[in-house]
Amino acid sequence: MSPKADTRAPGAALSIRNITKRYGDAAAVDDVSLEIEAGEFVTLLGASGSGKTTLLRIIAGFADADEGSLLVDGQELRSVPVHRRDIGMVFQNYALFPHLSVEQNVAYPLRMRRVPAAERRLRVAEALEAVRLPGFAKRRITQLSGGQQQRVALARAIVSRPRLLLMDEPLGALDRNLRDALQLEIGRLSRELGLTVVNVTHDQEEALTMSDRIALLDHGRLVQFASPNDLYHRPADDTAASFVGESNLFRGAVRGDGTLDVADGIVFSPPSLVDGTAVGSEAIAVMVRPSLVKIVEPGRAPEAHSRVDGRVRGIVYAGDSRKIIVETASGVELISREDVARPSDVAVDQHVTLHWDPRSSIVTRLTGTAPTTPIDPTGNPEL
Amino acid sequence: MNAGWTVRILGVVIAVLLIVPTIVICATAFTSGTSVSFPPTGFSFRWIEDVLGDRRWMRAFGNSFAVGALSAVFAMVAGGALALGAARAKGAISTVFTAVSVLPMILPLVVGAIGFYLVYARFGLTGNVLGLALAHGVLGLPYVFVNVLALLRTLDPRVEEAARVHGAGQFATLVTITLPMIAPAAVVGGLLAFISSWDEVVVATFLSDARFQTLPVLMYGQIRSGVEPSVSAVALIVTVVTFVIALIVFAVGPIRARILQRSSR
Repeated sequence: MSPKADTRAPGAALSIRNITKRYGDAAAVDDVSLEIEAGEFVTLLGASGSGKTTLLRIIAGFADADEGSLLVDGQELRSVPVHRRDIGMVFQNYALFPHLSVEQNVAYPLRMRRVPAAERRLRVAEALEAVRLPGFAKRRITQLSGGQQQRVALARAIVSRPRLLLMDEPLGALDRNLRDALQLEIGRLSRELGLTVVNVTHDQEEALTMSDRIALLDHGRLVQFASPNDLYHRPADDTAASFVGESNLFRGAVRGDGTLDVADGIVFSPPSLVDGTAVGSEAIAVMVRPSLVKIVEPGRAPEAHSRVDGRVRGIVYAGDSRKIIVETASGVELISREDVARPSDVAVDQHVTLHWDPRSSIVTRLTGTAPTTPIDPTGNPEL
Repeated sequence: MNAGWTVRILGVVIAVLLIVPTIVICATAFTSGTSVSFPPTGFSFRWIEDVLGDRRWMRAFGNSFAVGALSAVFAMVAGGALALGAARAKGAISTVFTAVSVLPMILPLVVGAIGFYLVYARFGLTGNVLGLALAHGVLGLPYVFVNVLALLRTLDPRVEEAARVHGAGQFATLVTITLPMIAPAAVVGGLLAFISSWDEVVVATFLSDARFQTLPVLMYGQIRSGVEPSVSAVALIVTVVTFVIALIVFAVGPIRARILQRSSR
């Protein structure tokens, strides 16, 4: 191992400040700022068209931003050409060099950095060891499976101990089992090596599993930059609430007296659920996770709980849990998720009451375009 | 009789029309007589030995080979560069690159030949290997262009991005990644350019003189003074060389296909 490499801090801090990128009139990335700490694993999460890939390409240098700055350990990166940015990158379709062997692929970043051959061999062996592909050095790329190819791509990305590791949907092309295994492995590697990672995915499960923090993007805007736990339990608005995890979402407004005005005959109890800051005519969303929604016979809900009546429309099994879809009187579908091992005694078409502890429901801002439970204008909510 | 049989019979007829004359001329090379006749009278290698021992034929053979090889190199360099340009450029510029590159295929050969003669004569590029190789390089360029462009269109642009992000500048990316990946297509195009130069007679006639002649030009001259079995022997040699190169093309093809398959995943 080279002494030079040992003295260097493993990963760098990355400041993304007010980055904007327009294509014509549309902003693909709209004034996004993120402060990423050294050694942190950050995922840019969003649907297609959210700007996550554009932002990653701006960090890599394949595209330039129209406005804003990118600082790596305080140094401006935007004026640095791609090949001098000291970045490692994993691509969705591996993007390995087809005419080179595994060893030559992994050695490539070192060759370009003019690392002496003897040290190169050592570090390639190390990197292949790290991705658990020892003994594959002489293989041709064509002789590898998809999972093995992605491991080679990972080895190539980390072999030069880059200041930043970028990943563009790294697991997108792999089947589920392989994805799960590689998720854990990438997480382990990045922690062991102290890498600063910026990962792009549309898969919320992958984001929640791997990341220290998640930057949720929607239509080019940053919705929320938070830990998986915060993103799940304290979504910034209805977009975050509906994108991360399954949710029942009600739109509404806060009345002057602090009570919550939503449709659908839902009894929010107690009404003091909404704190003073939300008072006024501000649009809000109330979210409750399906796993916290209980299902009982009509009228059996605890007095202190929020509740709504409805009819069971369907029961869907998903592995260890099952989803019970309930339609309310005003035609809104709500979901209750329960453990298959402890099923409630319900059948399709049966009248039931859904209820939940009001402390488990979350009130957030209503800003996004996310599909939510619509307000019934004729409804007369009993609050 | 259905359409399948009609097509098959048509195919056989066309094949016979194409192949039989070649077989006939090659067969007459083995005659033991002194005139070209079919079927050949007797069997001997005397005319082939005759040609192989003839300095004039051998010099022409050498000229043809040198011109073919050099023109293939020119075609590979120019055709490869134009294909890269056409693949990378956008819109109208790409179209211009493509139009320029396939023009040699479309232009009337005689017109081109006169043009080459008029221009090259001013620069001393007639009556030598370099001049004819340049002209044949232009004619062979489309083979390389089409082959390389077809391959470039299927390459994943992220492979080059991977090179750049991992420390390769533009030139290093070209040399270490792009060129090795397009090399098989360029080689196939170059071999086809060689074949096209190897039997090209129109431009070669204009750019040759009494001291510098290629095989097809010399053959054409010999036929005008009467067909000898030695010409048949030369024809046989020309055909065999073409055939061998065609075999190489077919051998390189699968390598190319493998690269395509790999990089398109």
